Amino acid sequence: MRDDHGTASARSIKAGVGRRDFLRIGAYGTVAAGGAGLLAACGSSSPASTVSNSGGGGKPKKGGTLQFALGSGGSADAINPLQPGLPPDYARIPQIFEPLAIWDANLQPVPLLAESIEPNTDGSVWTVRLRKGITFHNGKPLTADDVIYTFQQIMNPKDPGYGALAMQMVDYMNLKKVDTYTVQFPCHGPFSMFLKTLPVYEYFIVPVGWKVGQYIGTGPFVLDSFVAGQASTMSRNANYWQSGLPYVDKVVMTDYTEESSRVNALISGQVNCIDQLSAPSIAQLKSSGMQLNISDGGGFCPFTMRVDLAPFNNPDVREALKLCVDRPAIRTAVYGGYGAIGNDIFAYWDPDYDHALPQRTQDISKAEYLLKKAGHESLTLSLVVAAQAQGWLSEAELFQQQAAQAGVKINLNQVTTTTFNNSYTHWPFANSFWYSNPYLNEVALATLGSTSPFNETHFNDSHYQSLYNQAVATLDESKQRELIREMQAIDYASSGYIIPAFLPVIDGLSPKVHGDGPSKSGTSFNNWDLRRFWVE
Amino acid sequence: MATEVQRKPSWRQRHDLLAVFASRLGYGLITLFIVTIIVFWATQALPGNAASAILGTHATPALVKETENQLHLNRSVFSQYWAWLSGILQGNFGHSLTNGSSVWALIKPRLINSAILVVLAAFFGSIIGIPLAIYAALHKDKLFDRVMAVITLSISAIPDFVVAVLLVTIFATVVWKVLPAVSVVPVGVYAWSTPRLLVLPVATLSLVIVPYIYRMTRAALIDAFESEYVELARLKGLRPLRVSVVHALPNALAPVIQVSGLNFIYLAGGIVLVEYIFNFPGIGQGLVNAVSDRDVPTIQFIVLSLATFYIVINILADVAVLVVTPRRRYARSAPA
Repeated sequence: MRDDHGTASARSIKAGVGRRDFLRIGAYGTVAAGGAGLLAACGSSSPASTVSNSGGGGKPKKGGTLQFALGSGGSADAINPLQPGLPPDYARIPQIFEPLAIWDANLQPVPLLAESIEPNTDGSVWTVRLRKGITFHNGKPLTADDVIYTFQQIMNPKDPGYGALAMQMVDYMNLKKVDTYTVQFPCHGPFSMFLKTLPVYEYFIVPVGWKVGQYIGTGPFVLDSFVAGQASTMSRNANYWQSGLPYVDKVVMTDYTEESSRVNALISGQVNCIDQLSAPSIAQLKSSGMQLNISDGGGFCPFTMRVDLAPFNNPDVREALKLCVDRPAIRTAVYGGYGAIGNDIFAYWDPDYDHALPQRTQDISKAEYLLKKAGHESLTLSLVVAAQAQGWLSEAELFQQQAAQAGVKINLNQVTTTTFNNSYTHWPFANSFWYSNPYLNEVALATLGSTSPFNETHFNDSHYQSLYNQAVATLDESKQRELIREMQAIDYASSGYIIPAFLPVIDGLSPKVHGDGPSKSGTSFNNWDLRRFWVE
Repeated sequence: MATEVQRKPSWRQRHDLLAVFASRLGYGLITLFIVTIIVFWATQALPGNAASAILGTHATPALVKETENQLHLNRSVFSQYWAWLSGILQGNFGHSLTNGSSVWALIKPRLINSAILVVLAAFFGSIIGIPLAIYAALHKDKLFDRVMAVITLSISAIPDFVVAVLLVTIFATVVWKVLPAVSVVPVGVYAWSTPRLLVLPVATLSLVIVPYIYRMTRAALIDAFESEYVELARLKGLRPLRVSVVHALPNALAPVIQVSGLNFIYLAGGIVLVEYIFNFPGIGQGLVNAVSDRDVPTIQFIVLSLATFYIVINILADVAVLVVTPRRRYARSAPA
C-alpha cells in the first residue's frame, strides 16, 4: 500500500517491527554537489561527513566483499520484490531485481530496464520501450511479457503488491504488448505521475511465471543464501547487462537490530558498511576514523492531530500547537544539527515545495492568544508516541517542554510499534514517520479524505481534493506547480500536521570502501545502488 | 533402627530416588501445560496480531482480513490453541506466522547456539568460582578472602549489560581491538565453529555468575568447616587436607549443586540480554523477534523450551542433592 516514491519506503517501513529505528528518509533534491564529499547539505553546520564518490579514492578495483550491518530487520524480512516490507528488504531486493526506471543523482526518474518511457499527448497512455539484450539470472531474455506479467501481479486485487495503490490509475487488465520489447500502459484518465512513480521500490520486474520465493531477477547480484532475520549473501552476476559492473564480488547483509552493535561491528572491522544511525553515533565513528555519509533526507517524524476531533477541530488550537514548536532547537538537539527545518508541509525535496511560505517560528504569546481565543487557556493533551525513527522520543520530549511554555500540558503515552500500528490512523494526537515522497504521492496517501489509506489527520477538504485531481491530470509542469502551491498553502494554514524537521540519513563506512554517493531518494548507500561500490 | 527392618519397606522407600524423580516429573508436566495456556493467553492479550505485525502500516482493513485468513487467525482462540496443542502432542511444533517455515527448523540452530553459550558460561563460571571459594574458605578472614569479598560484591553490583559493554570497550572497540565486538554467527554453522565470536559473550555471562558460585560455595564450606563432625575430625588429629576433602567437601556439595542449578536457570534468562547486546543468534534474540512479530507458534515453542529447561534442571538438581546427602534420603524414608 504505499505508493510512490520514497513512499515506497515511506509507510512501508513504518511497518511493525521495522519502523523502529530505521530511517530511510528520502530526499529529493538534496544536496548540491557532485564531487566527493558533499552530503550534509543542509546544515550550515555540518562538519564533515565525507564520502568518496565513485571517482574518489582512486581507480575502482574489482573484487572484494561488502559487508553490511542493517538495522530494523526481523524474522519478517523477505525478498519479495512486489511486497518489500522492512528496511533490509529495500537493501536486498534492488541487488537482485531491477525496475523500469530509477532516480538519477538529482532524483529525476531515468529509465533503467527501459530505454524510454513516454506519455501520449494527454498522459492517458504511457509507452515503455525495453532495452534489448538484458537477461534474467537464469538466462531468459527480458521482454514485454515479463513487464505485463509483473504489473498484473502487482495490481491483482486479490493479492495486491504494495505498489498497487499508487498505480490504480493504470488499466492493468488492458496492458498491451506492442512488440517483443514494447508495452503500452493505458490509464483510466490522464495520469501525470506514472513515470515519477516507477522508481519506487514496488515495481521491480520479475520474469513471467515468477512466484514468491524465487530470486530470479536481472540485477547486478545473484542470491546465494538468505535466512530471514539473520543474513543474506549474494555474488556478482557475471552476465550483468552493464558490462564491467558491479565491481565487488560479494555482498553480505546481516541484520543488527541494535544501533550500538552496528557501530561496534564497524569499528572492530567485522563489517564495512552500516546504516540507520542516529546523531549521537557520529562522534564515535569519527573518532574511530570511520567514514560518514550524512545525507539530508526528506523523511520526517511529525505530530499528527485529528482535525475531526476536539480540541483539534478548532484551527486555532492546531495553529497554536504549531507555534509552540522551537524547530531549530529540535534540529540541533535531536538531529545533531543535520537535516532541514520543517514548515508543516511535506515533500521537502519536491521541486515544487514552496520555500516562499513564511517559516513558522516559535511564538508563545501568539499561541497563548490563540488558545485563549479557542477557550483552551489550560489545555491537557495525551500524545501517543511510538519508536518511529531515530530521535523519536527526544523529539516528543522537546515538544512537550516547548508546549508547556504556552500552558499546554502534554502527557506522553508511549506505546510499542505493534500497538501503534494496530490503531494506526485512529489516534487523536500521535507521532508518526514518513519517508520522502513527491508531494502529490504523499497527498494521495495522507490527506485526501477517505480515499487516502493513511489519513492520520482525517483531513477532508473538497476544494483541496479537486486541486489534487487537476494536478494529477496535467502534464503541464507549470500548471501543476501552481496547483501544488495552492494545496500547500492550505496544508500550511490548516492541516493536522506538525512537521518540526526533516531527518538526516546517516550511514557509516570503513575508510576502505569507495563509490558511495548521497542517498537522495531516502534510502541508505547511494539509494542502495551498489554497482559502483568498490573495496580497497 | 535395626529393629524396624522387619517392616517391609514400601515401594517408595525402596526406590526413593525414582519416586522423587517421578513425582517431580509429573508436577513438571502439569507446570508445562499451565505455561502453554498462560503464554497463549498472553499473546492473545497483546494488541495487534501477526497480520498487523507483518503488514505494519500497509495494513488496510481488507489486507489485514486477507492475511488473517491466510494465517487462520480468524478461527476461535480455543480452536487455535487446540490446533497448536494437538500438533505438539504429535511432535509438530507448527509453522512461523511471519515467514512460513517450520518453527523447529527456524529455532533449532538458535537452541543449539544458546545451549553452547549457557554450557560454556556455566563451565567457566564453575571452574573459576569453585576453586577460588575453596581457597577462600580455607583461609577465612585472611587477605585473599577479604579482597575477594570486595571483588565479587562489586561484580555482582554491576548490571549484566554494563559488564558486556565494558568488555566490548576494553577488548573490541576502544582500548584494544583484539576481539570481535559483535557475535553474529554466520548462517549455516553453529557457534562452536566460530570460537572467537564466543569469547566475549561467554566471558560476560561467566563473570556475572562467578560471584554467586563463589559466595555460595564459600559459605557452604565454611558452614561445614564449623560443624561438629569436622570439629571432631580435627580433634581426632586428622590432617587439615583430609579434613576438608573427606569430611567437609562432601557435606558442602548439596548447596553447591543447588547454586549450580540456579545458575543454569539464571543463565537461561541472562542470555536474552547478552544475545541482544552481541547480536548473537540464539533463542533470546529469537524470542524478542517473535514477540514483536506476534509470531505465536514461535513464542510458544521458545517459552516451552525454556520452561522445560527450568524444570529439567530443577529435577536434576533435586535428585543430585538427594544423591549426595544420604541423610535426607533416610529421613525421608523413615516411617512417620
